[in-house]
Amino acid sequence: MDLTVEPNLHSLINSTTHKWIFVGGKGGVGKTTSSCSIAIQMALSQPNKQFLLISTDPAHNLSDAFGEKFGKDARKVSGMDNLSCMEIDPSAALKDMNDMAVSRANSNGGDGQGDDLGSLLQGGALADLTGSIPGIDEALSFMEVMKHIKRQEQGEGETFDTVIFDTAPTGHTLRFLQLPNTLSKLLDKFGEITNKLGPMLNSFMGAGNVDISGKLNELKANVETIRQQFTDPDLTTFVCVCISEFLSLYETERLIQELISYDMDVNSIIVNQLLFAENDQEHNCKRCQARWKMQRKYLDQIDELYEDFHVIKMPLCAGEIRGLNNLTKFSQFLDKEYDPVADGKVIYELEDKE
Amino acid sequence: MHWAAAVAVLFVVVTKFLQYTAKYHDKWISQMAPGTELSKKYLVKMKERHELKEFNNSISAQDNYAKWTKNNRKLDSLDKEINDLKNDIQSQNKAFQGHLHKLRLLTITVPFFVFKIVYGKVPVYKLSSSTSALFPTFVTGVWSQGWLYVILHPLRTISQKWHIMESRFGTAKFDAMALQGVSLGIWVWALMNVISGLEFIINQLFLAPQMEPPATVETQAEKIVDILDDAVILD
Repeated sequence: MDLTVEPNLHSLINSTTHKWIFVGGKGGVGKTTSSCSIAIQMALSQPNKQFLLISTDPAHNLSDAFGEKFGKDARKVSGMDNLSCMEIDPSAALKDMNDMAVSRANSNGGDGQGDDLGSLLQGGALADLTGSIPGIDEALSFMEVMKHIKRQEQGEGETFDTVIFDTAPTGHTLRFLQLPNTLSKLLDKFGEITNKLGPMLNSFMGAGNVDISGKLNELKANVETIRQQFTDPDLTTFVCVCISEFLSLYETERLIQELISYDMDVNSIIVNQLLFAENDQEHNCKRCQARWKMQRKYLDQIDELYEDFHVIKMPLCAGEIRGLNNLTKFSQFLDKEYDPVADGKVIYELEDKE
Repeated sequence: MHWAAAVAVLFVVVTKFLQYTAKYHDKWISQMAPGTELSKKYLVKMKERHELKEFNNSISAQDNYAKWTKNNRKLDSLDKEINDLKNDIQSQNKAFQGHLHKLRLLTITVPFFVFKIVYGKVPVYKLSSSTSALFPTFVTGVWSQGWLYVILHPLRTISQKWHIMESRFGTAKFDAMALQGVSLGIWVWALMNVISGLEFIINQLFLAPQMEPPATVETQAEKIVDILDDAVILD
């Protein structure tokens, strides 16, 4: 039996089981380019399925990467029928929640009390208040996942077979992935309290007729579903992105160890911005040669450390990898590994987007 | 010395020895505890961790990234193992301490208590009638019969006054009880009080940290201006 691991993402790109694919790493290593590339390759190889690429990074780049504007609602990428993108915008989502609260307060507010609440929330007071809570971006991304699961269960609206997350730098992502566990524990504690105080809490909420324990149980069931799906290697995987430099590798190692501790599947590393300078003799750039020597040193270490991982070595291109065409050209090396000799010319062939 | 007094002194010595050496008990227990094997393993792991940490500090992470990272992984797993071992040792020690506590209760505390109950009235030494006569009956009664005499004393007064229960609690019989000497219960009580008094004095004189005298801050209000001269200078 051949136990060697392919240096590409062919198996993931053609996977029919994966529902959630996370792409993450240190800032500035090419997470967005890699997530767009994975999404494009999956969409191309499985044209009958629908894919959604969500950016959970507060500093969104999807619109820049594709050269078109995406918002908080999923919108199809121009030129692709089965790939949609969305950028979760915490401030816009909070503004929506605020507006909903205002309209609810106004509709209830024949007695003057509602008017007071409505006027208090006018001008986005709720958004201002909740926007400053640490981790709100991750919480909103998590809510988006929950909405997506609910839609799929109920068969409402547009459903997607696979969701690819272009995540924020490591710290944010780890907090996001910790949320199911944290929420699960929190809801267990809450459950204990509501079991004891349930009738009293419900009578407090009497006017609104909100069944708190019922809502909590529903939320708990949703969180548990997400937790199970995130820890199922057939459904969820994490693709680490890094560059061949010490700090990036160090953060990748930290990320991998954390993900393993969450029982999440992680078996792919994309190493971006490689120079492959020995095959680029015609330009004979001394600086590139020296830098490539350093990159090779770390590549050897990666091969030694992650021998059971798919390590995909991606070239540094001459131009910016922006727009669907450029991304498609670049992304082919995820499906079939980049050969510096045969594919060397591709890195100079990217269209200029300006 | 009366044999009962000797046994009581033995109990007191053992109790006090255990009290004074309390801070060393954990150390002794860790050496005696059945988790010694675990402790040895713990020390080996700690040594291994220390060596790994030293090695990792001695090499350049940039030049030996793979080795450095592998060592870090080993360190992480060692930390986990060490933590588990620590928990195991602690739970074993706790169980062992529980057994020792029971053993102490069964071999020292309870027997001493029972001994005091059973032999509490045994006179450890007699007082001559002339010596007894120096003290009031109430005091000699407490010496010979213990603190129960304090409670029973009103009965003596009642029986003396109303001439009831002559046969059982007659004043003569009651007073005769007061002439038996000093009982073991009172003798042990006195001994313990003397020891604790000595402990207090030694502690206050030699062991307790010396308190600094309170610093005096001279406030504006407390400042007293002495008028030494009552001469008034006129313009």
